[in-house]
Amino acid sequence: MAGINVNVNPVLRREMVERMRGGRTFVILTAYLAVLSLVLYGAYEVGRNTDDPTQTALVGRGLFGWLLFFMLLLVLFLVPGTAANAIAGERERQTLVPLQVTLLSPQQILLGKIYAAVAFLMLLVVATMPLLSVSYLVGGVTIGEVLGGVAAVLFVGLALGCLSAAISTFTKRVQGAVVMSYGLVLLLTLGTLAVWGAYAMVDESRGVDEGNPPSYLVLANPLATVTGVVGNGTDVGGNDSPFDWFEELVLPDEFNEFTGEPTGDAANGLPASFMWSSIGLYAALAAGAVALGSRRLRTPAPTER
Amino acid sequence: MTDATAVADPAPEPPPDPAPQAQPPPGAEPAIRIAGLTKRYGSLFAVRDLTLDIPRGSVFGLIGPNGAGKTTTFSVLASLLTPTAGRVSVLGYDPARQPREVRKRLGYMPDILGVYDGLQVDEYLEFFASSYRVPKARWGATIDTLLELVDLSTKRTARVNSLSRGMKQRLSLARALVHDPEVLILDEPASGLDPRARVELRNLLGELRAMGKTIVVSSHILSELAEMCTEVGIMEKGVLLASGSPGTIRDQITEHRQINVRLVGGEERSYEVADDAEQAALLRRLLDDGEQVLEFTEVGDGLEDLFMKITTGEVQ
Repeated sequence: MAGINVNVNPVLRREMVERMRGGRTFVILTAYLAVLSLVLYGAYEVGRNTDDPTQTALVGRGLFGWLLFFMLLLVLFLVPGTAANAIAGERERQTLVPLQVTLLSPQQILLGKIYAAVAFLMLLVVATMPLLSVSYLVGGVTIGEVLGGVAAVLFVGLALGCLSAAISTFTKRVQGAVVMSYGLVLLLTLGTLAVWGAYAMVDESRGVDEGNPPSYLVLANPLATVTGVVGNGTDVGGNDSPFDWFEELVLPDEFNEFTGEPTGDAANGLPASFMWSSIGLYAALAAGAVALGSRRLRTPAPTER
Repeated sequence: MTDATAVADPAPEPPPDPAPQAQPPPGAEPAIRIAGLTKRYGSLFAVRDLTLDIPRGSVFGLIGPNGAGKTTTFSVLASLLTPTAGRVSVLGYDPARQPREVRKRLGYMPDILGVYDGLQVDEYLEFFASSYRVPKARWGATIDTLLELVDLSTKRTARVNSLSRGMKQRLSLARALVHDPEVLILDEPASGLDPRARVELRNLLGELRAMGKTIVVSSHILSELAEMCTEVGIMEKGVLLASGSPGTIRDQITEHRQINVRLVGGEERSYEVADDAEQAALLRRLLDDGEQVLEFTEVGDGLEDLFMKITTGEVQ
């Protein structure tokens, strides 16, 4: 462990040594790639039923969309469970007190744990790049969209990691932290959609006809953040990915009355302001979570932490 | 003084106070100074008005039943808990206001053993050396020295989860020493150890004391504390009931000392004296009377007897 002459956070270094030992990481990585490979194969089989070369781009875009969506799903599944173990796991193992009496600050302890969770996430993403390159080679996506989509998924994973790690500082047991972390993920993914749907139902019941509910209601939805980066509003049909469905859901129905083509946001996708607002919201939540979690870990404290 | 009838079985001799090691210069500031320490959780007083000075270079034993406030006191010293009231100083620094300065100079071994099972022994110590900002160039030599001190050199590359409990205790002690602290706080270091491991730990603490470290230790095994501690403190329900050397505490709570005398011919007698002067006078009187004294021994309560006399056995 002393071979690398870099001033690395000691907690991060220790976490990486422990994580890469044993077969658990290998099993998770293998299962992750197996699932994504199946998704890639399934999406390709569904979308390749045409000899029209102009449709090939749509196939590639569909592959990219579905692959990125499942990457996001797996991140939403893996990161909370990993990061929730951050501090609650140290408490359960009775290793938190020896850490707190060292010269590591509460921020260093918490960030070391978060970095370790993100490093694992980056390992998963890097392992996925060969699969993503297939969609790029088929066509229909630019390298910027590929990198942007991957960056958006990583960013969402980092933000959720910060939130889960902060939750972990408040619980005595890992189980409680995991339950609360997954509850938060459900709230952000399904809860925001439920609020959006309820708003739409209320509008409809009042006879209001102003298009879709405001898109800011789903600003905190992880799907929205990634859609904001990769969505382009094109009515692709046939090879729609969940990101396209999400766009159709939240964008106002605006169509050219003569051609029937989508116009405005419906044509161009979610506005840049939406994307940056969503990113900004997650950044603020992540920063707030780290600040709150660090404060919780601070010693000396009035009660045992 | 009063003469007593000869006793057939004299009470066991109190363990001798440990031989003094290298002493700090007279007038040196105590390593730990506690004045009126109180820690309250609602209506529960975990520690109440504790006042105590622990000299540099001493081995101080803190004794008490469960819930006496020992661990709470240690947590305050180790800068984990803030006191409700009172002042605490460790080597001149306040753990509540200057935790980093205290942590640089204090090693803490909590009562519950927690280690990282996935690491090797040397990796475990490297992690804490890094966490205590020990220069990387010194890691190798420091770990070699520590492993030799705690007799784990042969386990350097072994996984921590393969160590026995006694080995893990020694490794935890090595962790507390990795930054060469001046003060050591050890909470129940002998807990769960077999007799051989306890003897080895006691010898190890003796070596650390010879190195000039100030050691504060708690234990339920009073006989061991009596052997290795220069001073002890007895706590119950958050209150310090007595402190000092075992002999000093004995004099505080008993009005008389018992002196057993064995004469040539096998006769044994028992006397009670109030102080050193009476004890010396008794010996002079016996010799002046022509008695042939083979043994003249002060018989006092051992630490266990003192503990049982001082405490009530009630817990909070």
